[in-house]
Amino acid sequence: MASLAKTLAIKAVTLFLVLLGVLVLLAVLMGATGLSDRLLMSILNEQVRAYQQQLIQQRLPLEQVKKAVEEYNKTLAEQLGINQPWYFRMPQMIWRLLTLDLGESRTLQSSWGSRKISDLILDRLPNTIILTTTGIVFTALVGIWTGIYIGSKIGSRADRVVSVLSAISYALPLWFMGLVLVFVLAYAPRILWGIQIFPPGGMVSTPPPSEPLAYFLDLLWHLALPLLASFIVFFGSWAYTTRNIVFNVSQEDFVNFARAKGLPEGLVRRRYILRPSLPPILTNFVLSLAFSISGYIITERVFNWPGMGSLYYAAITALDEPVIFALTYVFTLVYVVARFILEILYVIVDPRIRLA
Amino acid sequence: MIREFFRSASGVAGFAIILLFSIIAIYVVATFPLDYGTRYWSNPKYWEEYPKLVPPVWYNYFVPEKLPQHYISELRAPTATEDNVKRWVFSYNFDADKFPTGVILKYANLTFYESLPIISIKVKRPDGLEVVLMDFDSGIPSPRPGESPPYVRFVENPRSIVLSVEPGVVRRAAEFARSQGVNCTVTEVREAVLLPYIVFGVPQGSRCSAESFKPLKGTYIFEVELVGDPRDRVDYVRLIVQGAVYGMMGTDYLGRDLAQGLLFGFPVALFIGGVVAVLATAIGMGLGILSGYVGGKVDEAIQRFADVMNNLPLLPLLILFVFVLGRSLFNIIFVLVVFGWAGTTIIVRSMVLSIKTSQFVEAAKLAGASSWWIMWKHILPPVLPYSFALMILNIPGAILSEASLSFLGLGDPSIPTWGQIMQQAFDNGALQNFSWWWILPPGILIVITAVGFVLVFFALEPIVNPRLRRQ
Repeated sequence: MASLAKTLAIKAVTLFLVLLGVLVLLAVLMGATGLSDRLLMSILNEQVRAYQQQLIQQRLPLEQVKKAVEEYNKTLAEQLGINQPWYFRMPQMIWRLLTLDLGESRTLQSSWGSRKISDLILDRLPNTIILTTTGIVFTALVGIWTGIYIGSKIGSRADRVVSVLSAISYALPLWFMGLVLVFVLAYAPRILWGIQIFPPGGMVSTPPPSEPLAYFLDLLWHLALPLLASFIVFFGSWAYTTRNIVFNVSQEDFVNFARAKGLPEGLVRRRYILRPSLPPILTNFVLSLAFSISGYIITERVFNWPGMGSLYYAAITALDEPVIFALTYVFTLVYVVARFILEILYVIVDPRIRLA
Repeated sequence: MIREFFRSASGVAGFAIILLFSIIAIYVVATFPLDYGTRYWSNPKYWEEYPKLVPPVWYNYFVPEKLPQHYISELRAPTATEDNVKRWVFSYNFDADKFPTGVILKYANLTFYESLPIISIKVKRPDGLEVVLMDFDSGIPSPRPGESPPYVRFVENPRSIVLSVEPGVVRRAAEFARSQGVNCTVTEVREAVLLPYIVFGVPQGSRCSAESFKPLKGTYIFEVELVGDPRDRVDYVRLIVQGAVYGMMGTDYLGRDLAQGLLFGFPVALFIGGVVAVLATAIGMGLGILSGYVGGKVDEAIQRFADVMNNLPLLPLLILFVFVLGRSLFNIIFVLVVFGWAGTTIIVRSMVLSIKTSQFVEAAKLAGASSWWIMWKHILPPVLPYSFALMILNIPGAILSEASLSFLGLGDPSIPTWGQIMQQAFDNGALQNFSWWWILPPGILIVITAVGFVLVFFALEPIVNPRLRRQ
């Protein structure tokens, strides 16, 4: 047990270093290219100009205005940290992020008008989870089930179909599939025949239905195309990966031995093949959930879905530095936490790790 | 080994796709100028004559109503010369069920001696009506003080009169429409671009809209006249009746011939995919061999680093890097390589670990070979085939990543790529306008390219992967 705790502790430290590494990388990237300075300068100048305008409107003597503006410039520069070079300013920012103090955005706002980044994320995260989790859970369940079934029928026609599907899976970007579906199933029927089969994007209709049931159905209607796209694209890879894992395990000696002992096939499958296949399948599942928080940037754009990906894209185009930083941090954090949860799950599902 | 490769259907299919695409890419590199992007593609002036946002020519085979073809005719010498009048006569045969999208008159190198020449254009319709569209061209700069004849105009840039926005012409067209019983104001004609409907149609109602006109099929005679000094001349006169279909792949909102943009995308996609894959695989393989063979602290360091690189949320970082560093081809390739080598390193290292214990390595060590020699002569060769397969798999990865970046508007603006064509289509309402010829083909090409490489990888993997081979 002690060695187990030690392994987990080492993992935790490594994952923390990953987190820190990404933040440092980001800080260097934004700092060394001068982007951070430029951004802060433009904010500073804007605010100082506004302050000056305000003073001039109060008809203060010119000399006094000049002095007050200079004073304001100095305090504001100190506040923004622009009086220091970036390599002094950035560590503070990294420290704040690590302690989960995400700060405030420069321009972006949440739907209720808050500029706190944690509010921005709270606003968008549920939407992304609705979009990605449903798709991944649905696709993964069907895919894993198919993969387990095919794993014992290597070389069958179903097996060949699945390997072709997995090739397509790798070559077909989700966002393009989404685009094609929106085009063919949402826009085409409306433009050609004047009927709206599926919505062209968004998460709910505008205005959203007020009744809870109607709202739920409306949400499902908007979810249909993203779910379909995600199923078409990822089904093949889930089934194929699972098939490979199951196939590899079923080649092992202990499986042959179990069969040789005369155990019923059902028992061999459940206990001797599926149980050892579980950890890698679980890995795929948890990691794809973790990646989906950040991996749907383009897909969210195609479906006009107000999630984390759209927020990140908006932050990049609006040059909202704190939001970019915070989101990249959150994306990595989610991933790192998922990795750690996996390590614990391994211990639970795999007695080989627990007892080693 | 090669025979084994071609025995698999996926190998043959993948190879065929890559071969075909490479031939197209080589053809494009040989025939297109290298600065095609900046000189032509991103230069709206170059595409002025082309019809805007129209489907490809073959679209006509699938629709019951025929769309008019694009018509360009250029006359160098006047058709008739009488005294001080020169006349160019164009005959345009209109037999489509829908209207052309515009009419443009162009001429260049106008030379005159006395006063400004009067250039006019009129059209004789199949129903016998004659419409004067322009009495004179008001866009010719007068002689400057001190300038002596002959006065030469429009040398660098030809004079280009887009009839549906030229104020004098629009006024004339509105007058003609009113004389036919359609109540059109000049503003209405200009804003709804009704000129083609008025010139090529017969009115069905009195409301001023495109629906009020029915196409009038037959031969239209356009006469361009130049009245002035007998010596006055122009180099050529060109009449363009912009069709509602164009080329093999249609045009986009700027009138760009999509066939050209898509063709140029072939070498760009293969170049990006190839360069990124070669560099990333080379780095990954080198580090993997080093890590696996040297072991110890070096191994630990490289593997930790590779683990981190392999396990980052990739897309946000790619976007951020390209955004911060700048949207250039070089930066895109650089970022893709930096984030692309780690997977190869991890796989190669595990292969090296098993090779390292084999007898020929032991023998080389005993014979006193240096570590570099062993890595180069004994470790690298058995690792190469599988690394090659991994490289093939990295190519579609890079192509898809570039397409994703381009689709977010982070592509190199000086080079047209498939992803960028899609992005422009998406951002300029190709979905809403149902411009399928604009938004779908680039994506389909991206997917086909990627499928080609993935199929080749699928055929290669069992041949080069020793583990799969044994099974």
